[in-house]
Amino acid sequence: MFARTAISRNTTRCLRSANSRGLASAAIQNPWHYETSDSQGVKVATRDDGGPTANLAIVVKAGSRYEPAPGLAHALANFAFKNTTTRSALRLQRESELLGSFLSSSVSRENVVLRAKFMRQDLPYFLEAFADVLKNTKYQYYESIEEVLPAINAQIKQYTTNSAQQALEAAHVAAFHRGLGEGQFAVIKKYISHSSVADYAKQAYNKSNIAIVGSGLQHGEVAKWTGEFFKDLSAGPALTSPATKYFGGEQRIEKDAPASFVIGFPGSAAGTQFKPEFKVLAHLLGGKPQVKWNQGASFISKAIAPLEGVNAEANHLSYSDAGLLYVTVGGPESQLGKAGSAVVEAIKAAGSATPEQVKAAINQAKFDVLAKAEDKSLGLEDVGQSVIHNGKAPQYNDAVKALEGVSQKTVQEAVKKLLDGKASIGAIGDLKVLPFGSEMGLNV
Amino acid sequence: MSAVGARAFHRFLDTKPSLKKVFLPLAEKYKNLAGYRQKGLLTDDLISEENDVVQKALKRLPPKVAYDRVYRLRRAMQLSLTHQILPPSEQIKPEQDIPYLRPYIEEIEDEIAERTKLEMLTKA
Repeated sequence: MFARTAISRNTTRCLRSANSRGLASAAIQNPWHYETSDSQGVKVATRDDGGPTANLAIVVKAGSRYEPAPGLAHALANFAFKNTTTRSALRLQRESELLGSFLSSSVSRENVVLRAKFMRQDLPYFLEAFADVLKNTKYQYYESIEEVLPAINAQIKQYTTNSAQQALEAAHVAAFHRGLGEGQFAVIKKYISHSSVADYAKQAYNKSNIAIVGSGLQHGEVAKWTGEFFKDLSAGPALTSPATKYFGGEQRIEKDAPASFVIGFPGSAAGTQFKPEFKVLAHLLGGKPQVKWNQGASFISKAIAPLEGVNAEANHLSYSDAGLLYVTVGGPESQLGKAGSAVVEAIKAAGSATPEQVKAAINQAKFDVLAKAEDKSLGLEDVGQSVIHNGKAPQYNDAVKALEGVSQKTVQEAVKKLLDGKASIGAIGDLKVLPFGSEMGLNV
Repeated sequence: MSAVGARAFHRFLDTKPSLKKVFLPLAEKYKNLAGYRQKGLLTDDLISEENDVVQKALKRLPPKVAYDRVYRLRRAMQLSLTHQILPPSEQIKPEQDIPYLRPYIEEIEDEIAERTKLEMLTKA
């Protein structure tokens, strides 16, 4: 128990400080350029656009590919912002509400990410709260029963009703088998307990696994407070996962649900090895109209236009040591067989794209990169991941320059490589109507 | 005595060592005379559970502890029906009589108190 005056003193101090400090007045050279440094062994990357709101993320290299047993990464993400030895979960919630901020956490194949959005002068409070979450969370038995498992179950329910997402997971299994191929959600819950999550947290939450990424924050401030609050975080060994190998193949799951399938190909890893032609190729294949109520001019859009109700969209995912270029196909079951062949034909046709079409795809990819760079909350995870893996933050102008260097020839070579290699196909739904890779004309 | 009252009294006793020295042996004596240890019950088994706080605390017990509690209660009920007490070797010894439930109750009371305070908070 603590006295009421203690709470109100601290919280009112937070509220007062909001008025006393103005916005950063330093001249801002390039608002989207990430500055990186090392503060007491913790990697920090920030950029400052001088705006009034800020985003802070702690990226922890502890996603599903690093977990020792299924579901632990997902459970760890859901255990964020719960009771710690210094403050209760309720108090953290109420104080962050008083400061007008948002807290969230998420899990991916590579990372567990804790995020906060707040007004820039409240930075010390949130860095302290994050340090507290990392160092002092209690991982209580009853919290896992009362709060964490119900939250996980709700997320799993959402996932199991989304055929496209499940097909993408199945394609990952076919493509990568272990590591990146393993499911990112805690569908299997038998390994999750407060103590197993606490053990995983001890392995994950240390200086070699985390990076602090700030957007809309002054670098000096973030580095200073990081040093202050994270200096006693354990140094610990980094989590490791075996290097990813691409296999390819087919994973078909029978389910009484809307049918959907994903055709995947080996893509490009993020970081220094990034091959921009794969990102351009994803835009060249497209599928998503750029203008509303319009079919779109991309290869896949044109191929599926005659098939009523079919939707197909190409995307490219970059992981730290592998990538996946994939097309998600869904729609009426009677059309799916034809849709699969049409998509494969579109990929083959993209191999003979004209320079103008390649140019349009490059422009779309550039817009994508720039729009993502402009947004304060997007892209923090990518920056954190890059800083953890190679100590450098990806700069948007390098990415744009790389995209501009893509030529018709590199795209053609990429398409040839895709079609010569093995595809990874994930299909879920009525297997009678879902096409096999060989029926669509793919190597599997 | 309600759980809240008992806590206040404990705290008061902690501030008066001389009074505690008198009360503690008396309390031990009373516990033995009350006879529940002879029926295999712990002091925390006697806490009235017909209220929200204790119900929530019972839900938070680890599975093994909750199972043992039910076992003790059923055994005591059976002994009471048959007008028997346990053989001395199975009776609860003072060192076995640990407060397994009270920490949970106190934590929930603290949570409720904190929630009330945070809810009454106004911007200064």
